[in-house]
Formats: sequence, structure tokens, C-alpha cells
Amino acid sequence: MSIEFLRDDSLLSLIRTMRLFIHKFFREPLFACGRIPLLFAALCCLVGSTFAAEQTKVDFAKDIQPIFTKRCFECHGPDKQKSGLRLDRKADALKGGKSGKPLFLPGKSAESELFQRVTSKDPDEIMPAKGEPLEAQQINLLRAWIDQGGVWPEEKKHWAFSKPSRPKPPEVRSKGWPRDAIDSFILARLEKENLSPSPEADRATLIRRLSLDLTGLPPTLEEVDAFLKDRSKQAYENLVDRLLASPHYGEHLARWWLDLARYSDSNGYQVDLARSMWPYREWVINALNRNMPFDQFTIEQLAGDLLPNATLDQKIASGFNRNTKSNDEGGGDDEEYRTKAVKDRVATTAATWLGLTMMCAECHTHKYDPIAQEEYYRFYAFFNNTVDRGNGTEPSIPVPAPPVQTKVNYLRSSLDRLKKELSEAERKLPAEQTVWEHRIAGKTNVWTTLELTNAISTGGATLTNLPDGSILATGGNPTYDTYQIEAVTPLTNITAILLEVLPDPSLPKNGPGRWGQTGNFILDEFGMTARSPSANEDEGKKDGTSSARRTLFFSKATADWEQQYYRAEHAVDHNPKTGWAISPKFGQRHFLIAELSEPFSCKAGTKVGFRLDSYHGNNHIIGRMRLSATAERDPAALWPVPAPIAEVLALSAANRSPEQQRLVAAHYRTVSPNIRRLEREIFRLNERELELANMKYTSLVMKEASEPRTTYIQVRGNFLEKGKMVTPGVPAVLPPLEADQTPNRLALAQWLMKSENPLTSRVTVNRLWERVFGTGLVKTSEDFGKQGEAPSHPELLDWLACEFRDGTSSAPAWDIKHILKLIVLSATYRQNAAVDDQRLQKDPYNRLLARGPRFRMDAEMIRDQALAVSGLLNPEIGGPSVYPIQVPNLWKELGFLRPEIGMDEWPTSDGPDLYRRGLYTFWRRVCTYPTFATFDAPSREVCISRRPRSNTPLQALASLNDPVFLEAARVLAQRIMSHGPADPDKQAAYAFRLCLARQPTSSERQRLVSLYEQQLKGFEREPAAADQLLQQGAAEHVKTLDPLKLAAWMIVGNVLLNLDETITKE
Amino acid sequence: MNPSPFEQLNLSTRRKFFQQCGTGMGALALTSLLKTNLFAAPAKESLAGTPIGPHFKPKAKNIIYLFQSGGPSHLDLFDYKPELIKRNGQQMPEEILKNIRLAQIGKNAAVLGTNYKFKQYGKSGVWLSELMPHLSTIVDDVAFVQGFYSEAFNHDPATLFMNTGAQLAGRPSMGSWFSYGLGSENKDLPAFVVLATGFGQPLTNNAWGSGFLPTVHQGVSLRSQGDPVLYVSNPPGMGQERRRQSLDAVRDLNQMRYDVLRDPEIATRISAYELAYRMQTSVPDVMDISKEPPDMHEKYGTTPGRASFANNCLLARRLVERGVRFVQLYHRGWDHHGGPDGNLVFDLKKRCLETDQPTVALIRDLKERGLLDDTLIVWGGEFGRTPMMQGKMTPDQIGRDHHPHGYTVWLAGGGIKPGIVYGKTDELGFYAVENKVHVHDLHATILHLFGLEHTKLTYRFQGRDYRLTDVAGEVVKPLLA
Repeated sequence: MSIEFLRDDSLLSLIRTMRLFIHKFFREPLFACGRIPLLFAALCCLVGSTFAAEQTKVDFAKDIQPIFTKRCFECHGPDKQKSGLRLDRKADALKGGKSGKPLFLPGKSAESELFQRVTSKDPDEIMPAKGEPLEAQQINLLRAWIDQGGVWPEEKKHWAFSKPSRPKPPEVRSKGWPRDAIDSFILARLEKENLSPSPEADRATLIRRLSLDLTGLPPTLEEVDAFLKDRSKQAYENLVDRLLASPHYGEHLARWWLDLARYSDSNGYQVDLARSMWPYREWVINALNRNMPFDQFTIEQLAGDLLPNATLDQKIASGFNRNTKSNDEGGGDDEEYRTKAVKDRVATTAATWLGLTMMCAECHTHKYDPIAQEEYYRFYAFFNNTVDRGNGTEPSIPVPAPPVQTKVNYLRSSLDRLKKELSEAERKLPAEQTVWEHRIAGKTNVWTTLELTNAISTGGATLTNLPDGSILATGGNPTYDTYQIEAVTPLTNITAILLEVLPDPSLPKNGPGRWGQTGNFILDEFGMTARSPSANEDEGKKDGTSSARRTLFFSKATADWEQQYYRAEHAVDHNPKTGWAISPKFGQRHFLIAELSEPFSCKAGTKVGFRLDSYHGNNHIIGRMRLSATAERDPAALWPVPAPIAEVLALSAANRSPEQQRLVAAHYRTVSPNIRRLEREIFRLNERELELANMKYTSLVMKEASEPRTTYIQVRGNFLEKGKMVTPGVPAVLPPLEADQTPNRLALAQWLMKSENPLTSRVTVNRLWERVFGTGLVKTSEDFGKQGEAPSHPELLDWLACEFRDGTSSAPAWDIKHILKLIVLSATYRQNAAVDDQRLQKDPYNRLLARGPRFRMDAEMIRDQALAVSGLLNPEIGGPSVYPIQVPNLWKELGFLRPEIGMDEWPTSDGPDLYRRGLYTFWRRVCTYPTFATFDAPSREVCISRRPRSNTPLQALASLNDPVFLEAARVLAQRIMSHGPADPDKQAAYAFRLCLARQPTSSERQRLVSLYEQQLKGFEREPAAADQLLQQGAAEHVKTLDPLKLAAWMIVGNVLLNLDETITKE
Repeated sequence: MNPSPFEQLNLSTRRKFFQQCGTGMGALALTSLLKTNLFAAPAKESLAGTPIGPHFKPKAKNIIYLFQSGGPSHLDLFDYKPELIKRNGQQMPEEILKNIRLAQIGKNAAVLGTNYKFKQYGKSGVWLSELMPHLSTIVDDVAFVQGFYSEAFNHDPATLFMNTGAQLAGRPSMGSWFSYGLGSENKDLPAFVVLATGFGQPLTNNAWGSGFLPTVHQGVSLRSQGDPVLYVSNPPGMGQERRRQSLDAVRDLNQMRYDVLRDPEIATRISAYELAYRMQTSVPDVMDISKEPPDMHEKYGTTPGRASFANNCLLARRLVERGVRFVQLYHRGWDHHGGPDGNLVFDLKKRCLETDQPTVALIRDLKERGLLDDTLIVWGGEFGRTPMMQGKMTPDQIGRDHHPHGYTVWLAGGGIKPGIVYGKTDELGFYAVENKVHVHDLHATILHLFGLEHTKLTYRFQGRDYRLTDVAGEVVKPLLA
């Protein structure tokens, strides 16, 4: 090493070299640590060869071009040519720059301009001009390359840009193994690598693998048994056919497609309002179930609206490109977000059908692939002519209501149950009333109306003190308002405050609120302060935030009536985005009781202050109100008793007239918390039924503007900076559009499906392969460009692409089910997944497929499976999104929106909707359903081609403790005890097979039984724990089963649902 | 001393593994596997792209980022502009507004001077308003970056820009880059933790998302209500002992399957479950501030059990002490457009009351514990506020609009030069004009303090090597100690 710049510590240099090699050989993003050691081992094996790096021949494409791209193109690339030097094209590069010196002199590195500049000591001379100098290893490679003659091969057309033609399956040595062409390609490679395929997996494993791959659901025990019994030659293929015909097939594949389509139920960005898009999701499910040919599937989604006499379904399909985000934040520039949506359409369409990273050319010509910035904007022009804006959800179209009978039936049966409970509760009322009367005897008038000294409306209303001690707001009716009220209290101890809101003829609809349409109000925050008793007056006046004035905290609030999602407690939760309201019971008196967290003692005559905030807007402000205080400590006595009732109560029961008795009973009915709870629930379900009957359903669609919009290049991607005008067109490296066709979205969609197009068929079969094997033949399934990874089996990829594009005598072109069937019928697919040292060492990621696929299931599948094996799953297909149990207040904590938009609180679904498949879960972009996010589900803000598969402790916590998994474990336990044979050994095996299809080994079974016995003993010592554990979930509790055994089986169920094998497709 | 359950697992599994494969390869595999910290993954990740750091000797080990969400008014807190007061009520000079897009106000909005008194403090003579009385006592520890600027003027893109270096969702957040680049110092807690308080503009979780980085790097949001980490608590009736027993069964059964299949992923799953078990203790433990001595609560102004920015400051110190690399606090409610829930009088004062004391208590506390030298503090919002008024000239209506073109961010500790003022805005506090620091520059500088060269911390996604600093960013050398 005579060259002086190689001063690096030689070890460091070695490490760098090794990293380079590792990088080259294993460009695998590692989502699990399981793989590190292999790489360390591989690294150790490679050390020997790295010493030879200096002597080996430098390869331009592999070694030199990446340096140019990374470090030089910014100034000497396709967009900028500082000093006239351009390094991305051979002819330009060899000429050198304006200086006239050639880039290099072959064989003479020391005299070459390139070499001199990258090693220069002169800060004005050294290249790259920006950032750190090149690394020693890079300089070394440049020197070696020049000295070896500076070979710069003519650029070959990138493999993915040539049209695939069907190769002949290769000859193999083990002729008995291949079942079809796929196997020949796979085996030929294995034989080359001296690997042999693994034996076929056992039949139970195969049916589970097939069911999970084709429907996303595990097989039922009956299905497993039937398959195990069926020894016919056709058994396997029959099974495949049955699964491909299952309506769950379409759901499972749709979920995959929805990641590409970035389907979501919300608009995105900060405000993230809800949108109605489920009809598009339904379209995808139906299209896939009907096995709609992929060309039609494509055309309808990209341009369904432009088809002649487009049907409703075709218009809905065009929603594919309305899954873009829209920004509802005030002050946003609509045009900015519209152009962002158009760019997203370019990126998504290119990634989904072409496997191209076209968005790289938004700001400058693509650094790696032949896509000029102008070509980017020509592609953009196809999508730049629709009428949607950067905000809102228009245009959208009405769609017919989905069947809601199941939901209605559920609501009605729940109503029947509640009504029974209510009459049960009513029967108990007289007894309860006696207890209550006893408890409040002598305490029927615990409230003292406060004497007001001052009342200010910061919004500018006029507040008048009426003779009954109430305040009436008149005059200015501002959008928002805050009342600041001061009063003196005659009490020396305050435990709670009563806020009465009162009707008044001067208020809209008789009040009690000031909102014109209903007389409603929303009390966002109710606060109380007091001067501390010892404080002298002056101390309070230093600034607005006196230390003498202290805040009193309310710990609890109850009200006689609460609107759904606007509960009394919201007025005292210190969250100005939530509040108390009274819809639909307007025009009458209501009250709220706020209890202090600790009693406030003071001198009589102490000043107290109140603050009532109404931030909601639209004049949702209280119109008339009265404040009272109490020192009463028994919460039962806080419920106000109207004077006539109090009079009756003063009489002994025997002395009351029937009318008086009726009055008291009627009053007590309003006091009983149980009755109130049941009535509110009945009210809610009635409303829900009405809502279902009146729901309007819509879906977002593409709609072309009548006046075409002109498209310009956006300089550096900035929508405000317009460059040259462009017309719609496709990149020159790909076949041209039909000359006689109007260049619009329809033409583009048809062009994508032309048989000359080299990419669409390859990209699509690669995705199907990826679904099944975990990794595509091209690992970078979103990038078939030069920076993507080359295919592991290029000929197999082309063979499959041609099979898909051209069809065969037995299958039409673009037949998705046909390709999937080919794949799962192969011997390659049927191998077992066990791995040995040789396979692990040679092929850690199973790219060569000398063993069966084995990888963790997707987020939704893990949940679906837990529901399925426990018997909870509601297999209903389609319809609007549902809201399974989610952590309470998750949305609120992050401050999403005010309640009026209905997105402030997760509106947990009723009954069967809690157990729908994961793909129907309401998908909110800014706050993905937590357990799904933990298992790597994307937010769906952009097109996602493949999800990562991480393996983290947060996942363990989710599947251990997420209520849905606990509920599934409980219901699984009921299933074990109700349906399984009654001995722990057999019950354990039954449960194991429910989850994993295969029989447990004897040690697996014994481990489960010993767990069961251990737990049973534990619960016998602590039966209360069993009761607590069994509270999980709303699904039916079978009361006839022994709770201790049930709890013990629930623990076993929880364990089974958490096994690595359970959450893995194996 | 008895080995912990996890150590026992280590021993037993490792022994089994040796027996099974008997090759150096296998032994190497499982040994490093079980030592692997699942929240920290620098070594393996480096194989996925360009080598990862630290690239050189770091100055800071931890960072506490105090994100003031909504856009605090630099003009009422840090950036004293007599000229603004002089021109109060006048029109803005036309040439300043020529190429400006404004969020909500029009271009004819009048100049608004500040109502708050400013004084000079410390050796740098920085001007601070009366709203930050605590901060004024530690200015010699602080570097004020007064020529800071960003690009986006709406909350969501601006917040994403500050946190991910891009205005559109989908890029990894700064904390995720740290986790990816440096891993975690604590094997029982995540490397990147987020704590949020306050009300106002919503926060979207992609501000701490991992974008295209593996989700193991995403910020774990510790909640102040319910479980601090989702599902860290066992359901009633489960209890730690029963949980341990069931996890023993999970481990044994996974081990049995591993014996048959030998898929390393199963071994990873075994350790993930063990770490989950440890988190069930370590997370509630770190979150329990009630054990802090009374004087600590007095200094910070904390009340155990009631969510507040003060509580989160104290939590931040506890997390950093335990080796959590990146702690990000969000405090919402700085969006003061004017109006009853966001004005420059009541609401700005309230925010300052909520944050000033605990922020300074945190810095003092870190200093007293010798942690400030390697803990970087960053204070700032997604933008500042306009020199022009929004709303009306009444206490509850007065406000300013969003303003990214020049505002203040301040830093302390962790290798930052203390006691300086760097850069400035023009005389109206509109544009950053001198020693300007862009969002990408701040990111580059922060990474630099942690021994990371921002151009080399990259991740390959969709055919491109992405960085936190996109294609820009310069380390701001004058800010370094």
C-alpha cells in the first residue's frame, strides 16, 4: 500500500471492505435479530476473500457507477452539469468537462484528472465539492479501475425493460421431484447450489398453510379431518379449488390489494376526517372473488369512470385513485394538496403496475432509471384533469345501502333483552325506594342557591340575574363564550356544586341552550376557584394568576341526562375538546352535579368563582342556569328533590295519597342509576336502528373536468414554480401509447395491460409469489428499476409473467386464481419448513426455496385467527367499516377533533360487529388500530408494496393482553369444555388442533396439561382471580361451566394464541 | 444469587442449542441472539444499508426534545423587536410580504408589537420576556438559535418537517433514526419514548413513526392515562406469577418447535416474550414518580397522578437515567391565533406557567446529577408566529398567525456551546437574516453531537438511500462546544 491517502487504520479498512461485501451479498433489511448471527458467520467466511479485493477486477457497474451516482451526480448528472461535466452517460463523461482534460487516462491513475481531483489536498480542487471526501476504499476502487484500463461497458438495456418471452423449463437431474414448470426452475437452481429440496410437509400443515394463504383463515377441525381422510389423488387439488372458491379468498386478497391502493376510512393529514370509501373495498373483494381478469381489474380502477356508459360499479372502482389524502386543515392551500394527491396517483400507479419508483423524478430526472423529469410530468398529466380539490371528499356518488338485517336483528334482540332487564329493575324499584327514602330522610333540601356578585360573558352576551337566582343570557350571541361568575357562599364547607340549566321562553326552542336550531349547548369545561380563606384581598391582584386564588378540582360529575359522547364527566375532565350536552331532550330543565375531589372549607361569605367554557362554536352556549352548593357528604342525597316531592317525603308512607305515592315513585325512577343506565342504553339502540334505516352511503370517485387543466413541469417539484408545458405521455423507455387514442387515463390503463408492456405482468406475478413465499422473486417488489434487486429466478419470473399475460389452453389471460393455483400446487410450495445448518448457512432467507415458506402472519390475520379458532368470528362479508374494542380515549388523548364531527371518540360497535375480520376495521390514518400497527400494518397514507415483519416485545404484549385476544382465550376455553372430550389430555389436544391443525407431540400435549393442572390448582386457592379473569369480553358467558376449570383453560388458550407457530404461516 | 428467569432461559436454551447443532456456527448464532437487545439493533441494521454509527466519538448520549406544539410566539418570548413595537398597528412593508403565503390572515394584517416586558440576561445578554422568569436564570447554559427557519406553514406538514425532515407523512422520525443508528442503552425499555400533554392542535403518530424503517424503531408513546405502554398490564385475575407461569409454557412450547424446525425467528420470539415480561415491571416502575422526594416535586411543580408537562419533565429525567436514548415531550396548546382557546394573553401565559418552571428544573436537575453534559435539550415548535396581528385587540381575541420564516429554537447540554445567541431575524422578526439555521441544519447538528454523520445515516427504500436531512443540511459548527 504505497498510496499515501491510505492512512486508515488497516483494521478499519478491512471492516469497511467487509461491510461492502456484506452489503452486496445480503441486501436484506433485517427485521428480526434472528438473522444477525448468520451474517456474522457469513462475514467470517468472507474475510478470506476480502484480502483479494485489491487484485480482483474492478467492475464498473458494481463498483464505480454507484460512487458516481451517490457522490457526483448531484452536480455532474442528468439535471446539472457543473463545468460541463456529465457522468451519467459514457460518451459525455469520457470527454471530460470544460477544462478540456479527459476524465482519465486508462492505465494511468496518477495522471488522471478524476483521480487527482478526488485525492486533492486543495480545498478548492477536491471533489466532491460538497460533503466529506470519498472514502479510502472508494478512492482505491477508482484507482484500480483506471489502472485496469478504465473499462466502461456500453450500457445494456435493464432486464426489466425488455418484454418477457416464455423460457423453456430447464432440465433437472432429480426428474421425480418437479410437479410443474415452477419446480423445474427452482430445482435447477438448487442443483446448481448443491442443495436438495425438503420433503413434503405433513397434510395437517399443508391444509393450514393453504387455508391461511388462500383465505387468510385457519381451517376448521372438520376441514382438517376431511382432508386427512381423503386419500384420493385429487384431494390436494380439490382442497385448493375449494379454497379458491371460498368468499373469504376475495377478502384475503383484497386486504393485500388495499395496502397498494392505500385504502383508508379517513382523509389523512392532521384533521383526518372520516370518509365513506367502503364501497370501493367491497368492489375489490367482489372483483377478486369473481376472478375478474386482471386487465379489466386494472382498467376499471384506473379509468372505470371513463368507460363508455360506465356502470355504478365501474365508477366505484375508479375510487382506487381517490384513496389519496385530502387536507381539511384551515388555512391550507387547496391547490397544494391537490397537486400532492396527483403526485401520489403517479407514485401509486407506477409502483403498483410498473414496479417503478417514478416519484423520484418529481424534482429532478431520476437518478437511476431512465425517467426524465419531463416524462414524470407527462405521466402526471394523465391524472391532472379531475375535479377533486385538495380538501373534502367530493366528487363522490351515492351507492345503494348494504344489507343491514343482521345488525337490525342484533339490535332488536338486544333491545328485547334490555327491556326485560328494565322490567326486572322496575319490579325492584319499590324496595330500592324504601332504602333511598331512609337514606335521605331529613336531607331533601341539601342545596343552597349561591348569591351571585358578578357575572361576565367574555363573548359579549348580557347576563341578567333573575329573582330565582338564575342567570339569563340575552343580547349578543357569540360563537364561543366563557362565563366568569363570582358568588359568595354562606356555607363553611362545600362538597359539590349543582349546575341547573333551565328552559326560558326567550331562548331558541325554549332553551336551555342558545343554539338556534335546537336549544342545545355544550359545556366544554366547568371550573371552580376560590380565594383561600386566609388570603387578604391585595395578594390576589399581582397578576391574572394570583397565588391566593386557588383552583378547586372536581373529581366526578353526573347529570340527569347525557347526550351520547357528551357525558357529564367531559365537563370536568380538563379537556376543552370534550363537553356535556343534552340532545335530544331540549326545552326542559337538566342538571349536572359536580363533586369536589376534597371538601373545601372556608369562612361564610367567602368568594368563589366559576368558569363555564363553551368552545364548541355555533352558539352552543348555556342560555339560562343556576348554581347551588352543598356541604352534604352522602352522594345519595345530592340528587335534587323538587319541593313538591320533598313535601310528600316528609309524610310517612301511610299518610300519602295514591297520587302522592305515584309522584314519589315517578321521581325515584329518575333517581335510580340502574334505570337511567338501562333507559339510556335502550334510547341509544333505538337511535342506532333509526340511523341504520336512514343512513346515506357514498363512495369517492374520479371525475374528469370538462375543461382540461394544463400541466406544467414543476420546477424542483414546487407546484408554485411552473416550467415548460407538457402533454400526457409515457416514459420513452417503455412501449408507446396507441397513436390514435386520446391520451387520457383510459388510454393509460389500456397501455399498462398491452402485451408489449414488459413490467405489468412481471410485477403482478411477483406480488402473488410474494404473498405465498414471503419474498418476491424480485425482493424489491415495488422497484423493478436499476436500484431494485435482480430476480432470484429470472426465467421463472418470465415464465410466470407469460403464463399470466398470455394465458394457456386451460386458463384465460390475466387469471389471478390460475397463477395462485399453479404456485400452490407446486412441489416447491409443499415442502416442509424445517431448516438445517446447511440450508441456513447457504440460504438464510430461503430465497432459493430448498424448504417451505415460514413467516409471521400479517396483523389482521393474527386477530382473525384468534377469533376463528375460538368460534367468535363473524364471517359476514362486506359493508361499512366496524369499530372493534379499542383502548378507550386513544383518539381523544391525541386531540383529534371535536365531537361534532363524530371522530373524537371511537364509536365501539355493537355485538357481532366486534368480531368481523380485520379488514373491516375502521382505518384511521393518523391513528391506526393499535394492535395492527404493532404488527406492522401501515397507516395507508401511501402505497405500500410489502409490509415489514418485525418481531418485538410490544407484539407479545398485544397478543397477551389486548382484550380481543383475552376474550378469544376465554371463549376458546368455553369451546374446549363444551365441545371437547372431557379429559385434560384430550382437551389439550383438541385445543392445540383448533389453533394449529396438527396433532401435538406427546411432550407438547403434556406441557399443556401440566400448565392446565398448575393453573387449576392456583385458581382453587384463589377462586376470586378466576372470576376476575373470566370477566373478559362481551361474548356469551356460559354459566354452566366450572369457573375454575374454565379459567385454567383460558390460560391455556392464552398460551396457545401466543405460540410462535400460531402466529406463523408454516 | 439466583439467576433471573431470563438468565435461566439463556443458560438452558444455549446449552440445548450447543447440544443440537454442535457447530460453531450454531453456537455463535444463539449466543449473540440471546444477548441481543431487541430495541437496539445497530449492528444488524448496518448490514441493511450504509454502515451506521457512531461514525465518530459522540458528545451526547441522550436527547430530551421538548416539542412545543402549535408554534410558540418567538416575538413574545425570545426575540425582542423594538421596531415592531414602534410600528404597532401599521401596515407591513409590501416588499417583505411579496412572495409569502399566509395560513389564515391577509396581507393587510397590521404589525403587532409585544405587550410583554423584555430584559437582558446572562453573559450573552439575551433578551427574554417576563413570561419566562425561570429560563432567565439559566441562560448561561443555553444556546438560543434566533435565526431558525422552516418551510411549512400548516401544523401537520410543519410538525412532520421538524420531526422527519419531510412535509409528507411516511419518513422516519428523528427518534427512529436515532434508534436505528445507535440502538438503545437499556434492554428493558424502548430507545425512543414519546410523552404528550396539553390540548389544542392534534398530534399525529407519524411524527414519531418509523416510516419505512422497521417498526422496532418507532417511538413508543407512553400514555398518562391507563397503561403507559399499551397492554403492558395484565388483566385482573392474571397477576405476575400467573403471567410468569403462562410465559414459561409459551417458552417451553416454542422451544419444542424450535428443536424441530430450527428457525432462528423462533428464538427471537422467545426473547421478545421475555423482554415483554421484563417491561411489565420496568415500565410501570419508571412511570411511578410518586417515589421521588417531596423537594423534587416542588422543584418541578409535579403532582403524581395528574398528567402535566411538569410530570413529563420529571419522567424524562428518569427515562434518561435509565438509558432511554431519545425522549420526546410534546406540549400542545401554543397555537395562539386569538380567540377564547388560543390568545396571546391568557393562553400564552398559561403555557408559560405550565412549561417554564419544569423545563428549567429539568435542566438544573440534570446538571446536578452530572447528566447535562451528555444529554442534549432541544426546545421549540414547528414554527413561530407572524409579526402581524390576527384577531382583535382584546385580551381574549389577540393572536398571531403561523410563521416559518424566522423564529427561535433553543438548545442546552449535550455538547452545545452554552450561553450564546446565534443568528437573528430582521428588525421586524419576519425573516431569519443572519446565521440562518434551517430544519435540516438542526437535524445535521443534532446527529453530529451523537457521533452521526448525517449524510451517512441512510436507509435504502424504494430504490433510494434516504436520510433524515433529505439532500441538504450542514452541521452548525458555531453551536458546538
